[in-house]
Amino acid sequence: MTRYLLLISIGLLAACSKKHTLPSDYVLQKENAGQKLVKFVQVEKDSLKTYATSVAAYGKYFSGVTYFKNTQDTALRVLFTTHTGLKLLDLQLSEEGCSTIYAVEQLQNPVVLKLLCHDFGLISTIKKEVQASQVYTNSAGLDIVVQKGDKDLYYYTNAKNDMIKVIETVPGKRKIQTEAYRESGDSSLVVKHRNFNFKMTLKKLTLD
Amino acid sequence: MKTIKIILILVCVFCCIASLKAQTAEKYTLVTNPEEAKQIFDQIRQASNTIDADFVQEKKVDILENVITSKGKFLFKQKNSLRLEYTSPSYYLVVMAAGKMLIKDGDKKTKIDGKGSKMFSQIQNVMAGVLGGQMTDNKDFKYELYKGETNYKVRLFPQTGAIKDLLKEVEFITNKTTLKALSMTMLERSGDVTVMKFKNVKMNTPIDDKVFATH
Repeated sequence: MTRYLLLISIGLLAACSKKHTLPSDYVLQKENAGQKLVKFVQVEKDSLKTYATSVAAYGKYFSGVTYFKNTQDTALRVLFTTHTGLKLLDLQLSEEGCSTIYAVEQLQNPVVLKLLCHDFGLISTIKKEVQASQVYTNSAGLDIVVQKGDKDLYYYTNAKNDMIKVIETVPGKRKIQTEAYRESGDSSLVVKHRNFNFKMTLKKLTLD
Repeated sequence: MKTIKIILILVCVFCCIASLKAQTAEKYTLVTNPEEAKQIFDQIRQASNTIDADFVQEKKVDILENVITSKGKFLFKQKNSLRLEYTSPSYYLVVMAAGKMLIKDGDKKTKIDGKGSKMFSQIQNVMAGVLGGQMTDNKDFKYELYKGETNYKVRLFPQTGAIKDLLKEVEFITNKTTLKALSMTMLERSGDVTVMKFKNVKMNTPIDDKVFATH
């Protein structure tokens, strides 16, 4: 019974998903071109960025600390630990994709690992240039970089190519599946799924 | 002149190495006599009705190269009330008392009723066992007690549940003379090591029950 209710809920949420429409003041500038793109979490070689991280999903809440480390300039390591220091997850993001270096038993679920790989990959990168399907620009010089593929991605950037917002939709359709944006005066990053109840918030920390 | 400089540098290096060795290479022997172990745990219990300390937590992860440091406040009251308050790099509070648990993360408060929670009862067992001097082998943990020249060391080996999946061993060091808690080391299954060092430790000073409120 619970399973059916869950399926109905997911179905309803999917049906109710908000549609993404490009703002009318943006004009198509180029197609199939390389485009500089600075994702939310951009880590220079050998440096480390740290975020207090909380996850809210289906009424459950837990938090910890995420570390992003650019290890070889070709790969990014993403570590998630509890506040008390226990490592729960260690991922490697590279051009080849995402691989799990370590996950505690409770996280060793292909669906969960795929979701976490996807979400961390959406906001962090080692590459500064992507192959864009389309680039739209407005009169203020702001860009929307569109990448079409298994999912359609809309990266909203400012004049410095810094990411303001990312929208992920079903290919060809404009129903929003995932979005990532800045919150609370840019101090927090949010990744939110529209087709199921999942929200991850990352707040930048300064280490001693 | 150059030779004197080199000799001075060598002497300094030697002194540093000797000092480090003295700090880290305490030789411990296993306490095999259950009566002696009971006496030691009784001593610890009597000295630690309350513990009030600052802590510095250092986590070493090979891939990060950096040692990640957190700081905070540690409060313990017999029999098993605990307050762990991280103040740096971010605020995080855990309070465990009377079978309940409170977690405060920024503005978010989470309350957990420990009844039926395996992990909760395991953590309480460790607290009561090591800090409260009520250590006995049980199905959740095996323990070994060691004594050195200046310190006691308790090694705990989780046997069941989620703690066993996460941790290979937890090690507590206590000063033999003052019976003050010095450090707690967590050795994870992943190979990482987290060390919590206690500073400004005050034993058996009054601590208001209000600080262990879980509501």
